[in-house]
Amino acid sequence: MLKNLLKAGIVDIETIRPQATPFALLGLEPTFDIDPKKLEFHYFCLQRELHPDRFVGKTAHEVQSSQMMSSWVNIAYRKLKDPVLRAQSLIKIMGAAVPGEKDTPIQDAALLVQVMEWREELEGLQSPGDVDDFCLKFQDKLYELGEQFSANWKERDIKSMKQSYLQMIYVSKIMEDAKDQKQKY
Amino acid sequence: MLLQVLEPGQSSFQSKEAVAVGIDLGTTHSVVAFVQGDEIFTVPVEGSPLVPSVVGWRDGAAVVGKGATPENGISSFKRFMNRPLEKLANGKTPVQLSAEVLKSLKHHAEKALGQTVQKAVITVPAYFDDTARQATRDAAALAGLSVLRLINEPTAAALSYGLDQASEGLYIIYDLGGGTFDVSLLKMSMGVFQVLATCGDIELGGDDIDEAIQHFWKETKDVVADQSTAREAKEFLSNNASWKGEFLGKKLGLTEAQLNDLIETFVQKTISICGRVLADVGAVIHDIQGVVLVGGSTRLKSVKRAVHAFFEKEPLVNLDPDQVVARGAALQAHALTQGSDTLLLDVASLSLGIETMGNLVEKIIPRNTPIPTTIAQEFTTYQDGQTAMKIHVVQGEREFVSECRSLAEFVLTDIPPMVAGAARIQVTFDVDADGVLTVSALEKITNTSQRITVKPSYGLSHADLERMIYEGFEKGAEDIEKRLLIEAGVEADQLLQSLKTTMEADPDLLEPGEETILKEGIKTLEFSLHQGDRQKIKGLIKDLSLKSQPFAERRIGRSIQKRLVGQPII
Repeated sequence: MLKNLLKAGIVDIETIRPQATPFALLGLEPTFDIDPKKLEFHYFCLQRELHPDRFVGKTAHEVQSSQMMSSWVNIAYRKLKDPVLRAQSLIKIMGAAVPGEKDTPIQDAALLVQVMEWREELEGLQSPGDVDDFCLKFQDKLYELGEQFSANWKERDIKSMKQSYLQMIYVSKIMEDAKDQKQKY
Repeated sequence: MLLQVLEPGQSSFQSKEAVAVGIDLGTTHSVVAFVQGDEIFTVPVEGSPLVPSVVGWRDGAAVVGKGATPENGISSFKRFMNRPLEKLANGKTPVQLSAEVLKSLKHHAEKALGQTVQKAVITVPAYFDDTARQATRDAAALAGLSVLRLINEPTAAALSYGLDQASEGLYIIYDLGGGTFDVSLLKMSMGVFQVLATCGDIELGGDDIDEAIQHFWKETKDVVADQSTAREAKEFLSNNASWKGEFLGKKLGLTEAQLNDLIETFVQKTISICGRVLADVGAVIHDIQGVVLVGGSTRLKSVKRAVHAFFEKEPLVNLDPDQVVARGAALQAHALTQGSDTLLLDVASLSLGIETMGNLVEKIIPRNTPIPTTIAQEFTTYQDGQTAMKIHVVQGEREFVSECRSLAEFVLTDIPPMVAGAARIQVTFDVDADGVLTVSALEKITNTSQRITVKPSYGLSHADLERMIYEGFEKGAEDIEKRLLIEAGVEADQLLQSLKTTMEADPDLLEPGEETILKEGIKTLEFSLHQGDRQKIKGLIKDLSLKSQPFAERRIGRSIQKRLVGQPII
């Protein structure tokens, strides 16, 4: 099936390199609004050919190459499946520094104040049911931010992309914290 | 696909092709199976494909299976595979004992096939850690088998189910064996078996249920019965309401209701682990297409009932839960050697990380990451002029090194002396398709490279490992508070260190009275570190930073001046 992808010009074997963008690795156009079915289909096609299970009994060199290439495809798949990592990949494609990564301090004071408020709200919740509602609210927020990021990307508005991305990061972090909090009850 | 059991002595397989077998190396029983033509065959040994995982000795030679009774042999050694070099019975290690079982299975498979067997797919609990996986590979090597692949038991079970039923959708594999519990959530589509999440407990299985029954008899009847009597009662109750028997002339009984009470906590524990797996994927019960029961302990009525109630679905039991794993392993062995249209995509079941400042774990590969995988992360030095760095690799879900499994330690040397934070040390974790880890480290400025394959280290006791797995989830909240406190401490140390050094270096830059204020602040912060109040420490850090800011600005001014006149900056 990789052969089909190759023939159709969807995947170029030369793009299966660690430095390739996750979109290029999986033969997809760089966009925030990826088609999850297409992503999965390409991922499965690539793994069918590259997974080390296909190289049992082959030379050590082939086995090692397969292990590496299969790993890169796995990582790219994970980056594209997760909306926050997908947004990050698009910022990198624009050649911009990713906010929050080392040497790129976060300069959005209003957002930081907002995050403090969210945190206080979370700490004040009394029951697992409250936490579930809280999570649902932030699930929606993450979805909205994704739509916002998608619009920013279409405009190639890197400044707004970074802002939307930062908000996505904090929303997903607060959702993780909420999960931890649920363990407390 | 039909399941055929081979009659003893029957050897109709004279294929010239080397056959690779599938082996379920279980805690209480092991099974070997292989594919011939379109069929899966399990190899019967002394009348049953279930070979007791018991090793005894007769005239100095190892005896495996029914010939070795629990009285003259040792059983359940799989539970010690995470401490592979410990001497158990007769001076043998769990690796050597497992190798004896594998040798015996290999021998019986060879007899059934009429040819030598050299290659195998061996199954391991999904929740087996790196050490236990390596130990399983070592045991196979001792038995003269080359391991084509280690596959996770629930994944193997899914393979046999999926192929038979051509199913699509999300499936739960609930695997309660003799010694371990695993639950995996798989997506089956287009011939791909994609594991989305897996969770488990390597200290929960039929053995624990037997023990609970023995304990119950001790408490109520003051009879210390053996495990096989407890097991007999338990197995009888899978199809009956009450059991009566005796042990050494003393009458014993057990009803279904009593058994249900005894195992209630075990069952609830497995159900809460099922909940975790769903949460990991963000799935809800109604997304689940089917639930597959694997492992002999799923024959218990209360287990079936609890699984049914939780998933609101009648579990699938049309394949023998004791043989389904070996069947899957045989299918995979066939697929790996003969080629196949199906593909297994599995995940790393436990998080992998390294130790950082303050005894904390920095996770590099989070659990449920698809394997194989390779992830690199950069770390830096903590002190000025630091030339060596210890890399301590750990596995587990907890935030603290002391509470995770220590896998390996090595020291990266010859880092060029630089100021703290300037070195760039890239640590790469590679997890192969067997779930086994290799770690390498590279100092990027000078390309100092050191590569190690993580080999088991045995510093952790059984109890420690147990704690590591049980507590990872339960104590998450407590961990976070402890972690924040340590981080605050590290932050305070850094500030104190740098302030003291700079005050000594440039005393002339201190304004009159400033030194007293700063020394006072240093003393207060140092004292607060002993009190363990995070908020207070944070407050004092902020306070001292503010107070020392003018001094810091003056120092920066001086160093710029120095640079302007071409002098080295201190």
